Amino acid sequence: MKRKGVFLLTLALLVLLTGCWNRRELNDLAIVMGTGIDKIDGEYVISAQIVNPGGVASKEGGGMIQSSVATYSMRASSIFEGIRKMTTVTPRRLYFSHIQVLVLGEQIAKEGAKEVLDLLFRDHEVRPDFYVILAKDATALQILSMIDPLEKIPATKLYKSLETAESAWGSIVSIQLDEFIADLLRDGIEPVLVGVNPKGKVQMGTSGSNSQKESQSSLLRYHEIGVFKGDKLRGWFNEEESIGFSYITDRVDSTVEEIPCDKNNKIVIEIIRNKTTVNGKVEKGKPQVEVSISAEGNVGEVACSNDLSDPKTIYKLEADVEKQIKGKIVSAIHKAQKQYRSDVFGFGQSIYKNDPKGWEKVKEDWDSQFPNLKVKIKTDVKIRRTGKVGNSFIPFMKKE
Amino acid sequence: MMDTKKQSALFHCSLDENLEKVKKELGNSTDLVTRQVRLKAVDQIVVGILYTEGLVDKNMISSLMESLMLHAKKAHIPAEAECEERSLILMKDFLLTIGGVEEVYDFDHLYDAILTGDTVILVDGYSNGFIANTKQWEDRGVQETSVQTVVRGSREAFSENLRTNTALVRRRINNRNLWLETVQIGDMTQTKVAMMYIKGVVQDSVVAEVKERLGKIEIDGILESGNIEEMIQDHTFTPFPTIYNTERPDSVAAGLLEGRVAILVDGTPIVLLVPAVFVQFFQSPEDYYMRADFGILRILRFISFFIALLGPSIYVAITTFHQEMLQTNLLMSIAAQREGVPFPAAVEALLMEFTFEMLREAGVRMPRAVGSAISIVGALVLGEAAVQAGLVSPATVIVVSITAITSFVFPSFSMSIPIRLLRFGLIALAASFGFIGIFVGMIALCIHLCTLRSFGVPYMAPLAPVNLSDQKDTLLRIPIWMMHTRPHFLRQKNSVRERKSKI
Repeated sequence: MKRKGVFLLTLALLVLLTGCWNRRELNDLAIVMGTGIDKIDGEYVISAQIVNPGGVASKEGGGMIQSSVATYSMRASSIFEGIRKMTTVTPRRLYFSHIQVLVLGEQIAKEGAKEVLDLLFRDHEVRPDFYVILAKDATALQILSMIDPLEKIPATKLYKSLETAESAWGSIVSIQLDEFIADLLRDGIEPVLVGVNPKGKVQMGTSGSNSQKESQSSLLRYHEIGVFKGDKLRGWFNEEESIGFSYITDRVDSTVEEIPCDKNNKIVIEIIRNKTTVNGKVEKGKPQVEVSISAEGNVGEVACSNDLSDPKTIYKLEADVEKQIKGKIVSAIHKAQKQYRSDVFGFGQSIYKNDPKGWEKVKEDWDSQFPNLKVKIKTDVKIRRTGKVGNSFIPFMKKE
Repeated sequence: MMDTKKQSALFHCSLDENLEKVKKELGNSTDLVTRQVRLKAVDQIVVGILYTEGLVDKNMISSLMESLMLHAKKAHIPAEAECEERSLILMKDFLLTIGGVEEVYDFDHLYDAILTGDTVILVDGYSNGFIANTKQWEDRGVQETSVQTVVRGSREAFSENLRTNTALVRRRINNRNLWLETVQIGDMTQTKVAMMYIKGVVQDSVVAEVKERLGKIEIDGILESGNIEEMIQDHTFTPFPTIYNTERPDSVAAGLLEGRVAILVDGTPIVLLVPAVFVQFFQSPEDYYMRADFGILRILRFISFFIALLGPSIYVAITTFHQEMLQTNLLMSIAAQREGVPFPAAVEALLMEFTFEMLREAGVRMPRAVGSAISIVGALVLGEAAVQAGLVSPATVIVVSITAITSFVFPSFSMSIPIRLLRFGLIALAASFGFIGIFVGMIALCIHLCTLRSFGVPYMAPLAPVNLSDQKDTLLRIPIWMMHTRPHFLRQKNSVRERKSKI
């Protein structure tokens, strides 16, 4: 009988005391899609892009068109303070679980991003699987405010464009917060982040009219990879080096290699598959790394009269592509070794994985060893298909 | 039962007195027919005929009277006897042209006979009479199934007549081992309750248990097999049905063949089958008539079970506690729908669920003529206007509708009742504690289900305790030619169903 009483009481409390927990109705949330953090005059500027669900889901002919996002920003001496202080300007409590991108200002990256990352990694509400990108030649707030005609939410544009570019063009790497932090913590590897910069005038891009024009005066563009040493940005890889970087770190899904075939024209090879293995070891106290790349490609575009039906042409093409990939890799490694002195490729990691005992010997002064590391590069490219035609029709055209 | 009655009064010598007494005892009920017939026998003799109109076969009565009146001439029935029990063997042997005739000596038997549709024949001057078996009453006949319909399979449904019902089963199982035992339950109603089982297949202890439980029932009236179900089920405080009920003779036959016991109640088209297990309520007769691959649909029913049970509570939990679990675009569209809705999601869900249950209840109770009104109100007012007015969000309407549809998926209606009940509890749990609440609720539910038993068989068998060879008919139904054995959890004596039979 007593047990029954307790049971009933529990049941009653369960039903009645529903308000005492951290339940939040959906319409009390401000869903943050993107966050930007800048550092200006020693103070943080936190910007949050909040989606307006009504605006995003608004049907056609629904009268007044609501804007789909609102981007708020707040200056504060710490990030957490800034986020809380932002409630003074936002109508609802910020909800960070659905962040898709975090844009870091270049200034912050140069001075060190650890405080920023700690907060976002610590907070239970934030899922650490959003992309971290660097704002290049603009503030994070500006990047977040750039309006794109196809995507109503700028943060989603940043997110989607990053994902598609990574799979189709080799110079882009998508780094999520947890990967970035993992690279920070692991020995023998340094993190990188992709940079985004506005093409055209920033002021034009943030005005609403940007989305209504057919040809945009200003667009965001993923460009180059920022090289870190620890949590500080050291510098940038240019596009070639970025692709080289992607090859080494086995991030290339598909990309394009252009091989000059005569003075003005090119043969374009589409790389459709790539597998990179990095083997590092320590031999006689000297660390050395071997990068072997095996790629497969198709002929994508031919503008000269090479006879593609001749296997020899294909062999030559393969050799050319190999040479070109090798060149990109070498220049990336060179820049990282000599200019930035930062092992972003994870060569140290590969030594550790293949030769843990050897790694113990070089671990302590890896920073000074890395710039002089000997890297052997082996490339093997196979060209599989030439598309649905063999030779190009161009040489057969009537002479003008 | 007869022992408890006081010593029954015997007949008087005078027919008039007897008839008077019967009339008085039955309150001069107008459906009681008492007729006096003067027989032109060698000695003139007066015979009284008593029956209840409506319960008897009129043709039989008239042929009975005809034979008495026409053929009595030749018979020698001594009249004006000195009122003692004398043999009326002549009358019984020559005059009563009817199948079942027995003698009667006291009033209690007389009442029983009249009230069940038999005809009593009393002879003036004799203290004994006859009961002629003339039972026949209005019968709905065998009609089409209305609750458990199938696309392919028998259309016959049980009717209210016990004899018809037993015949329907016996027609499907032509075997001398199909045994039938009848008891009368209900002090007032004296309802006939029949147990059917296949001797040699069924576990004897189950039969004994059923018999014992039926014997223990003390009630004045049994009007439906539901009354019996409630009296003999193992657990009173559970929303889950532990006795299977069906209106289909083929389902009953299949149950008997598996080693179950059927309980048929006179006046009810619903037959009970024991022992029942959880998965049984997800099995449709059709599963066995269509080819085995069709049995995959049974998985759909189990999925529906979970949707019907958890749909609204998961919706409430996700939208109020675990917004991070939704895909971003979905979250935005749900959030957009909820803009401007004044209630919390839990209140909204409860509101819609209550409304739906009310609609359903109203749909069952209301006269057929106004049937379409409910659907119009339900669809237009609730589905459309409530959303447009901003009282509920479209997502809630969708969730509630899906829940409603899935709760109709089960072939057995009795399984949808516990789901309807538990759904509300789970919504409350979800609104209070989110997924944690739902999980606690589900764990409690699992524990509860596993403690249930039906006539000695664990309710969750063969899932828990698991029996691999019985899995052939749980989530899926494997081809019939592979089902060599009857379900083991019923522990029949003879568990082999078939030998190798595939060509």
